[in-house]
Amino acid sequence: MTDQKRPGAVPARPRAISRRGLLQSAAAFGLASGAGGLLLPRGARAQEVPQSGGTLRAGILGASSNTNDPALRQDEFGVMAAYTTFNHLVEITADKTLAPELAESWEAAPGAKEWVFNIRKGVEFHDGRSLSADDVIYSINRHRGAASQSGAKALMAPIEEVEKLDSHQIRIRLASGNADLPWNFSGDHLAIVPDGFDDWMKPVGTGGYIQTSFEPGVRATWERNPNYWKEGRAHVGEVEFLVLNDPQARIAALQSGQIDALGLVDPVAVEMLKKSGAAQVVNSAGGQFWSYAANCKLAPFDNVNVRRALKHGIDRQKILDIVLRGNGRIGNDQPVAATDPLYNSELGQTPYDPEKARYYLKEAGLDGLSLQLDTSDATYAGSANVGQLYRQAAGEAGIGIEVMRQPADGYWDQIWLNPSRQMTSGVWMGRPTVDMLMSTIFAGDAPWNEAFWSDPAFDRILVEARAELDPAKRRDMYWELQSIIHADAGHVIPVFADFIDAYSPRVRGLEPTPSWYLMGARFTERVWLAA
Amino acid sequence: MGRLILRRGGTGGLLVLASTLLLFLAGEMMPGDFASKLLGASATPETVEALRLSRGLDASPVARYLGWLGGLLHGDLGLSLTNGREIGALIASRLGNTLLLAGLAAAVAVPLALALGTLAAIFRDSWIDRAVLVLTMVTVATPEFFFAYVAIAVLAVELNWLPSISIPRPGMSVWEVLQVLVLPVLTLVVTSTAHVARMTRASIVAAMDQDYVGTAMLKGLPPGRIVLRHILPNVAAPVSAVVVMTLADIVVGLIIVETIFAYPGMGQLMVDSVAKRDITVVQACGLIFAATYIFLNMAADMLAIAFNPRLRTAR
Repeated sequence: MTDQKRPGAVPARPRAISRRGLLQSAAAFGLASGAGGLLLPRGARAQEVPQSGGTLRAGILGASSNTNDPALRQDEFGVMAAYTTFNHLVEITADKTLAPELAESWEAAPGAKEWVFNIRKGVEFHDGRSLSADDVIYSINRHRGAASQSGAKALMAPIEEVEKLDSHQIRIRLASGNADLPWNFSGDHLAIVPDGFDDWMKPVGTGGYIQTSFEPGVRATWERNPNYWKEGRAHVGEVEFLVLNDPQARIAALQSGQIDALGLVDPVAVEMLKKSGAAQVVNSAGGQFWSYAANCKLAPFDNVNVRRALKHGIDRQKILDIVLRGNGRIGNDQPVAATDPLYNSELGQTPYDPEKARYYLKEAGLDGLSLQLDTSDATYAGSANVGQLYRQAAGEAGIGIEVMRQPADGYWDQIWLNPSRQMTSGVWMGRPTVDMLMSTIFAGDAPWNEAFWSDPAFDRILVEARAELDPAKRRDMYWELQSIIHADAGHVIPVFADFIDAYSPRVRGLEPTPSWYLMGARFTERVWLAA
Repeated sequence: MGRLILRRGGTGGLLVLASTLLLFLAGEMMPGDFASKLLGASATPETVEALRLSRGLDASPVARYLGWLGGLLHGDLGLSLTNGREIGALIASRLGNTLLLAGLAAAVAVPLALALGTLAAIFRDSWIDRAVLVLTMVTVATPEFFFAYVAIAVLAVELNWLPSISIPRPGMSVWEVLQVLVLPVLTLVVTSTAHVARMTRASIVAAMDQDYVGTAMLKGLPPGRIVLRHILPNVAAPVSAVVVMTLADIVVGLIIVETIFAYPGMGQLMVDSVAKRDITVVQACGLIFAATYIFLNMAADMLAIAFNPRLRTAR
């Protein structure tokens, strides 16, 4: 149990197990523990032998504008559908390492500017075509070029050329070195589709399931791909996504047994679901964090001492306990999650210390401070309440916070990233790599630099680290970057919120996955159904 | 009579035209933009602009409004901004679902309300009357969403009698479809019955004090016969007006009910499209709702006239 208190540890018992499930698991544990971890996840949770068949029904957020086109995908629906229909070049595993998927292997030339990917042979698309380099090149090039409307356009922009070396080998040339390039191909936008394909009402991929119907904003169904190339994956016979957007209706659908899987569960519902016994709740600690960004271009927040006062004036534990109901861990004003292999574990935790906050204000030449904090339900439910907790705690330190409750409609367009706002709330889902995370939010020219913070030394190390292939040097540089953000940047990061999912009692093969909801969006291919 | 219908129809047409203008202006004023919503914040301004151009949003508002009106006259609702699909096709299947749900709700709610109101009037001041009074007071004060959640919690989650999600699937039998629709229909019925029941009772009770009812009673007719044969025809005008307005209530209530039960109808489509800033779809849905409302209002007027000989002679 002490494991649960240690940051970075995966909770020993991350979910409630129904009484029957517990007995079954216990029995299976006795049998399976000798099997030597064929499919045993971390924590040695019991596993039975996966069964095939059944219909897996999931409640998914979506809208009538949804499409199967991975370039233009929207909402939870787009992400979950992408990993059900398609494969990608690489796959992020449950312990956040990179595994080969349609790329069998890859290699970088020194400097990480040129990469060669070897494409898997003997893989067939749903329509019988064989996968080759042409399909991969088409799938990457869809996101490139001036006319591209893809969500991955910025991610693919550093690519200068994608070249076919032979029928199953490609070379990618970058404008500047990027040691993390393969990670970029794990995202849902980068699904591999057949060369020239564009009929998105009837998508064709190489994934574990073939889409059999698609009513945008209502439902979609799949049947198992009988020809699936992956061993030991995609167990269920049929998959059905029902588009459910109303928060109460989503929980009710799970409780009344109409769906088997539900992502984005509100922390408030967790206790109730566990007690009811109608659901298994899986908490995945990962990269999702809440942020308060003080505008470093506006006085007095351009003074680092004022920012330090703000960081010492927040009671993180209280926010975790009251708002998240313990479903997460406290933050330390830097964005790398404790579950990330590159997490700087030696960085001291900034405590809630009103005296110290006062001291920093004094250092900045101020007796007190008053500011407006923008909150909105567009970020996360209860965001205004978290703001109130911050106001209370900061008040003790002579910092007067006026919590602004902004309408969810238009918050991202008009309030957030608005250079005239003093401090805004945000929420981040994490990114596959530390480089992506920092380049997105903290680099001086980052598109989402919500704190308007920039530091030339930081930017320089970030670019150097990107091209560094040596693991030890990379680690040192990323630790340094975390420490700079922690001490200097305009971010107050109160908590990391777990990804919370809930499943019906018959779903098996569940394991916490740090990358996103529903097992990093790969639940359809990883779970199975007990008879 | 014919001229009257024509004149009312003309007024209705003008109202629909006015509502197109209002809908268009509301769409113009809505903050946010479909292109930045669709592409996400990672999109560069050029990408967003490229998408906006590809959907014809560079034209002036006046030109777009006139273009939309012109399309409407030809029965063309235009294209969805987010996915470029034909709005007509998008709405066709949704409209059928909505009409089915509204029709079922009306088919249950209207006779039920008339029966309750009539019973309450016949047995005035009895326990039946009081029960109907309390029941209608409670239901008229209950918002749709509240009743829907209570119904889900009790009938779907606790008792597990009915599904809480009302998504009809292809290949379902009629019986299965009806089962899926029970909860939304129930919600609409409960929240729309009260007005008609109260109005029916009030009208009948008022009529009971009239001389012709006194005459009928003195002739020794049984109360049931007096109500059904003598009073009901005379209260048809006010009651029919309320019935039609209730139908309009059901159509409006659909937006909330469809969202809660995930029912794929027009209301849900409209809510979806508002969230995605798919203005053209919002306008098309809004227009259909507005036209329905205007038509039902007109129908209420016409019925009132048809039942009242004094109003029938047009000047």
